[in-house]
Amino acid sequence: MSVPSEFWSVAPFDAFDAVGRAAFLAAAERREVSAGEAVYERGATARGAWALVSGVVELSDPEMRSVGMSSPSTYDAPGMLLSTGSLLQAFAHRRHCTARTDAVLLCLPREVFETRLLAGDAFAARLLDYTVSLSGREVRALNAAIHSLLSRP
Amino acid sequence: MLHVSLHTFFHEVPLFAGLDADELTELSREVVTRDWGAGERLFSQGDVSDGMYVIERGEVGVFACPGQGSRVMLAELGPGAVIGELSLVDGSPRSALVETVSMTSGYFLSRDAFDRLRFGGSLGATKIVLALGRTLEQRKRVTEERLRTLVGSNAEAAELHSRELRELFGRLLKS
Repeated sequence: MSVPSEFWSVAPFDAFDAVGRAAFLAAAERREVSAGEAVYERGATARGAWALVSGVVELSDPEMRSVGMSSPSTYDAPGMLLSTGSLLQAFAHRRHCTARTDAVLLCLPREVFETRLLAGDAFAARLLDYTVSLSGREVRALNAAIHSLLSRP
Repeated sequence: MLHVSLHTFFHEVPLFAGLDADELTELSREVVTRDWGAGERLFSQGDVSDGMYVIERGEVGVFACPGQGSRVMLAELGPGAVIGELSLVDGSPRSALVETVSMTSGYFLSRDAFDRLRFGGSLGATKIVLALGRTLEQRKRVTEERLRTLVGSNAEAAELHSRELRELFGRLLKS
C-alpha cells in the first residue's frame, strides 16, 4: 500500500520515521469510496480513525446546522485525520462523513491501534499523543465556550 | 501527615487502574508526597503546567478566574481526585486555580519524571496516557452535549458568540 508523499507532511504523520510509516500502513485498512457514498454515518458506532489518502470528503453536523452553528466542511488534503477520538472509545458518530468525489481513505481500527500501542509500536504512541493533546484542547475550548454563554446576563 | 501505602492508594485511582504491580512500583518511584495546610494554593490559572497531582486526603477547590480579581468555583475535589493530568502530555498553561479547602495531602508527578518513564519505554506510562485519553474523550462528549443544549436553549447568547461557536463546532467536526 502506498500513499502520496504529502500524506507524511501532516501531523501526526510528520513525526513518523520509516519504520513507523510502514507499521501504520500495515495496520490500516484501505477503503475506496465513490462520490456520494458515506464513509460513516451519524449514529453509527465509530470503529477507528480515518486518514484521507486522496479525494474529497465532507463532514456535516445536522444538529448544529439546524441552529446555524455549523456548515458542512470539506477535507481534501492527504493525511487529514478524522474521528481520532474513536481510537480511544467506541461511541456513536455525531456527524456524517460523505465522499464528495471518489476517495481513498485508511482506517485504523481501535482494537488494532490498542494492540500495537501496548506492543510498544512508536507510531501508535505518536498517534496517542496527538489524539490526547487534541482532545485536551477541545475540552478546554468547550469549557471556555460554556463559560462565555453562562456568563452572559 | 501519614501516607497510606502508595500501591494500595494508586490502584484505586482510575487513571492508574490498568497498571500491574511492577508498573505501580515504577510509578511510585517517580512521585513525591505533598502536604498542604488549609487555603494553600497548588497552582494559579496561567501557571506553567509542570505536572499532575493526586489528592489522598482533604479537599481542594478548582476556580476559574475570569479577571479583575474575581473567581468562580468550578468544583470541589476530594480523595482520589487527579488534577492537572493533561500536563503530562500538553504544555498549555494551567486552565484554573486550585487551592486547598482543608488540610490536604497527596502526590505530585512532574512532567519531567513522567517523560523519563515514557521515553524510557515504560508500558505503565503508555497505559496512563491511554487512560487519560479515554477520560478526556468521555469528558469532551459530555461537555459538547452540554454546550449543544445551551446553544439550543439560549439563542440570544449563542448569537452573541456565534463566530466562536461556529469555529469550535467546525474544529469538532474532524474529531
